Amino acid sequence: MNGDLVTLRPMDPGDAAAQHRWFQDPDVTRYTGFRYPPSLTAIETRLRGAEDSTFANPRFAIDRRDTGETIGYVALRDVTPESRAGELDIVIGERSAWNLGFGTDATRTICRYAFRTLGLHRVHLWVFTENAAAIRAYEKAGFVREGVARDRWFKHGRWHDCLLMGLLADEAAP
Amino acid sequence: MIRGEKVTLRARRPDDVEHAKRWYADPETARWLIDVGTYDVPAEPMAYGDVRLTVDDTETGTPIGTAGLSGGSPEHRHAMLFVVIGDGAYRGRGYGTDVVRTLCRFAFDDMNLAKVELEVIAGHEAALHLYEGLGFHREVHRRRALWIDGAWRDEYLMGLLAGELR
Amino acid sequence: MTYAGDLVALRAREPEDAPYLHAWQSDPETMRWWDRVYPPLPPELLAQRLASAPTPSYTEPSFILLDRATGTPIGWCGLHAVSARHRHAELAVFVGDAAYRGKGYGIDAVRTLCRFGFERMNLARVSLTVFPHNPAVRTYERAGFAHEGLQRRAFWKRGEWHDLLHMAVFPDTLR
Repeated sequence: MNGDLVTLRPMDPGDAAAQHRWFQDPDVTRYTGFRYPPSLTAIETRLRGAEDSTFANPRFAIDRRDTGETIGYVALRDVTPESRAGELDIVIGERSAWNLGFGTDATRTICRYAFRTLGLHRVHLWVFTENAAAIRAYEKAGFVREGVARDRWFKHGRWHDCLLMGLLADEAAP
Repeated sequence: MIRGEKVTLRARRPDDVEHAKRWYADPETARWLIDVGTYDVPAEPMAYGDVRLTVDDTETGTPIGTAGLSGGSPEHRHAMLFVVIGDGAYRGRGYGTDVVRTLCRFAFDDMNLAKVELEVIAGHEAALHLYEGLGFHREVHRRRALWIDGAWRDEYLMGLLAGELR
Repeated sequence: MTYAGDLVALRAREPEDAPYLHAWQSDPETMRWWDRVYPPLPPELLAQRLASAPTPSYTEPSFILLDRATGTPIGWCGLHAVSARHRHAELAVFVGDAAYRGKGYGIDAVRTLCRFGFERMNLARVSLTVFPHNPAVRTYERAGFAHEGLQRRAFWKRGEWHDLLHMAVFPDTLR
C-alpha cells in the first residue's frame, strides 16, 4: 500500500531483527506505552504466526519509498466490527527517519486503508500530552483533539497525562 | 497438474508466496479482489471442495496468478471458481479465459460437478465479459453487498451448468 | 438477556432446548422448506452440541425464538456468514411449533432478527435464500426483502434439483 513517502507492507520474520533493535532504544520507546523489552525470539515467533493482518488488528511494516529501508511499523488495535473504531499504534524505529514526514504519511496511509478498505468509522489514538511533535504530526494527518485523560499512564517513574485524538470517516481526506 | 492451452495449474509451493505478495500489492489486481487473505500453501492441494492452485505461464514457467474451486459440495455437486491473474503483463491476453475454461472442464469432466459458480464485483467489465463469453449466466444481483475501496459495490453470483461451457 | 420484538423474543440456545429443536426439525413441514440435506441429529447429540455451542457473538449470532408473552420456545433463528468488512450476513428463521404459524410470529421474528443485525451488530445488509415455492417468500417480501435473483440448480433435494431464490433487505428498507 503506497503513501507519498512510505509503503506499508505485511510484516515477515525478516523484520524481527530491526524491531528488536528499535525496542531496545529508549529514545524510540520514550513516548510509547511500551514497558518490557521483548526478546528476539518472542518477536520472531509473533512474526512467524499465520495471519499478520486481521480485521481486529491490521498491522504493517513501514518502508521508505526512496530507499526501500524499513523504518518502523504501524497498526490498528482492538477493532471491533460493530463499533468499527481502531486505535492507532505507530513506531518510527529508525532515528535517521525522524522528523522527515514519514510518520504523518504512514498515519494517513493506514487511515485511508481503515476507511476505504475495512470500512471503519473511526480511528483514534492516545498520545502523551508532552509529545508536542507527535501531536502536530497527527493534527496534520487530520486528527482532532478530543480530551485529556489525567495521569493515564505510569512511565519513567511518574504518571503522565494523555491526549485522546480521533478521526472520523467523513472527516478523513479521500 | 492441470494443463490449459497457455497455462499450467499446479499445486502451490512456498516460493509462490513472494510472487503473491507482489500481485496483491499491485493496485490494479487488488481493486477487484473481494477478500485478500494470505497466500497459503495447503497440505492437500487438490481435494473435493478445496482446489487451490498457482497458475504458471506454461512457456516460461513463471507464476502469473492463482485459481481454484472452493466450497465444493458433494451433495449439490457445485463449487465456487476463483481466478486472479496477478501479473499485469498477462492480463488482457487470453490467459484468464484459458484458466477459467480449463478449470471448468476439470470441474465437469474430472470432478463430476453439475455446476460451477463464481462471485464477481459489478463494474469489473473485463471479468464479466470473460465469464459471459464462456457461458456463465448472471443469476443473483446482490445490491450494496461489498465495501471495496471506499464505496459500496454490487456483486453478481454467476453460474454455469454442466453442458453450458462454450 | 433477551432481545424482543412485538410477539417474539430472542435468547441464547441452551442444552435444554434439544428436545424442542429435535421435534421441530423432525416436523415434515419444517423439513420440507429447510435447506438441509441430512436428517436432524438425535436429541442427545443435539444437547451435546448445544452444551459446547458458543454463546451468541458477532460471528455466530444464533438464537432460540420465544413466544414473548409466555416465554415458550417456538423456533430458532440466526445470522450466519457474517462479514465484518462488508457488514452483511445471511438470515435463517424457523417457526418450528406449528401452532405459531400463520399468526404473525414469523414476520415478527424476521423483523426482530434484522433489527438485531442492524442495530446491535451495525450490519448494512441482511440476505437470505429460500425455495421459490415456500409461502415464507410472501413473509419476507412484507418485511421489506427484495428479490435479487434465482440461483439455478442450487440444491439437490429428494431426487431433484431446486433453484434457490435470493433476497435482501437494508436498514432503510426493513418494514
